[in-house]
Amino acid sequence: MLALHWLCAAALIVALGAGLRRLSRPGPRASRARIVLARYATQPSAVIALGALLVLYILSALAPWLATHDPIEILAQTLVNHPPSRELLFGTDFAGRDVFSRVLYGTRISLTIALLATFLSVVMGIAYGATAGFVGGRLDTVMMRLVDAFLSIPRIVLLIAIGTLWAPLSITSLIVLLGLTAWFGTSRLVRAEVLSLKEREMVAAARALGARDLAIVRRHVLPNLLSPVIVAATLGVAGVIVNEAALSYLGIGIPDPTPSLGNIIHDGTPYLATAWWVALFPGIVLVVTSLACNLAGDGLRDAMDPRQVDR
Amino acid sequence: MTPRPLLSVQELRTYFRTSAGVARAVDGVSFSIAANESVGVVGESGCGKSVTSLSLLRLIQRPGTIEPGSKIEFEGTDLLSLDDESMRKIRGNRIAMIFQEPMTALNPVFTVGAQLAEVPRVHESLSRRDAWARAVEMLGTVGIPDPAERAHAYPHQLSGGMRQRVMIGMALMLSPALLIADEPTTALDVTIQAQILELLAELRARTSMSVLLITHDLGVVAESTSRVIVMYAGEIVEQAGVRELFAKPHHPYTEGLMAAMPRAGTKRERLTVIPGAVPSPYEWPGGCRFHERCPYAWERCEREHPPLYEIGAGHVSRCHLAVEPERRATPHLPLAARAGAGA
Repeated sequence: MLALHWLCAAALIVALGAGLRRLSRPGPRASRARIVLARYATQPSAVIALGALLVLYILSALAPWLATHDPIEILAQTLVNHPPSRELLFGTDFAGRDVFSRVLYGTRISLTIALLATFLSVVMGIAYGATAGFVGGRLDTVMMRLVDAFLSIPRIVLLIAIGTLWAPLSITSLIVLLGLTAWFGTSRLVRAEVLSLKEREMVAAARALGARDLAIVRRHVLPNLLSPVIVAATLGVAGVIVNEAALSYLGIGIPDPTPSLGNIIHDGTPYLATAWWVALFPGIVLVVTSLACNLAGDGLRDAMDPRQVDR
Repeated sequence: MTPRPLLSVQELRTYFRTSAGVARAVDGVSFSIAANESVGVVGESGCGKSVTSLSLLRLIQRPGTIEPGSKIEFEGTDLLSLDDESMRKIRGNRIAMIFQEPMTALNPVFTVGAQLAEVPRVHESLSRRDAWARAVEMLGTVGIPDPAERAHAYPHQLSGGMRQRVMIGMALMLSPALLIADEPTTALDVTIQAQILELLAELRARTSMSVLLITHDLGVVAESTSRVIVMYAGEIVEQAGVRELFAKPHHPYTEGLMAAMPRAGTKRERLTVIPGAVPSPYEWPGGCRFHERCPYAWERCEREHPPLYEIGAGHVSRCHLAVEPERRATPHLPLAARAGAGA
């Protein structure tokens, strides 16, 4: 789990670095990235959302240093359902564990799972959608009808069904499960984009210059897919976080002592009337994260929409 | 007579087999291009010009097929018997093609320099630095001012004429022997058009490549080619040297195209048009394919498909008028104009 977490953090840092390097290119080589950033910056809600996500991610990444207690340690029998205090910021749950520390660690696990699962689903979606769109014909029809079939099953029902069969889920298998059930929409989007991209004259021109199919996909199709896919991925993270929480809440996701936003809320639900703090704080984090992802995604979409002309 | 041509096309047939039937888009086209020659192909939309040029590069997409019996010989090689990999190497290296829309033919997410440099990097595995230098040099060759700086520009930062120059540059990166230009100036302003045609002529003079210029604009052909092929309904209907064609057009279709050309300085109430439209490639009319729109057509034209009659040195025409020239004296309202009266 720890390894996965750091892998995820490292990937984010690399992506951020690549973005910054693009932005820092000097002079008249005005890059698209800078235009996108400038447009993004004009949307207050999107900027706040991005800020909130960054703060949440950094706080959760620093969980081992920020946590006041061990998240799975039972503090004392007398400290069961203890209300928030100076010592115990978010109080304790029914088993006498520090909710503040559990929320920090839980956020870390939930975000890591969401990011990795989204990454998996995006890769799947691109590979599947691009193949169907680029090859076309009968293969496309068969592949897309399959996607339609999967899309017709409500996601959460699918997750519960597979999750129950697969139980108990390790964190890795949870990521795989969430990722493999989240790519259908992306693949549709990618296929539609590829269908229109491959009819562009640049593809005909590349063919006329002797480019191989693979080179056409690599140079002409994939780079032009980037914007819609980034937007879809950002919006996708929100969906995956909520689904993961739902699974954990239902007891199919992360097994008990390990905290995740979903199972902390689960632990708090029976005591809502007496110990509201157990479910409230992770609930707030969950709502804020998912809302921020949605707002950031909307902001990105508006910033990257090529139909919006600069003035 | 002439030395062996660079490209020789014989009985090229490209058919599209769809659920609606067989569209015979190109139906028995034969022509040749000599080294350093510039040949124009003219005709209305839908007469098979573009399919012909795509067939030369074997870039016809399903459900189109080049029918057996067709022959395309280029630099002594039969292109139709090559395997896909060898054909891919011909594209860009020996035969290059430029397209109508310089807007969409360039990739919006890469700088033009990177797109030009990509070509020698892939075909000649040149290093990044050398390829970039070649790209900048080529941008200069095609008349882009300040090429070293402009190489860093994205396509949307260039004008239409500039973009077409970039496209031409990209096509010339590997010094092909034949450049196919499919309506290269249609999307451009008239003044820019002239500049691009001039550039093509200049590059041809400098490099000894041949140019196959496909256009619907006879004016473009007059300016920049030495020989003209007129296509109609998937066939060649007339072929002649450019002067000969403009001085003595023989086929009524060619006549019609010329009459339909708006001319500066002459005042006309209405533009002359050829009545009717190009028929459907799913069922070309029997007899002469132009007879329904022809002001001279008589019974023979409905009955008998005309061969390419030789009517002068290097001048052929697919019209029965070649054997019954007196018919030209009595034009009448074409069938298509009568049927479509009022429309």
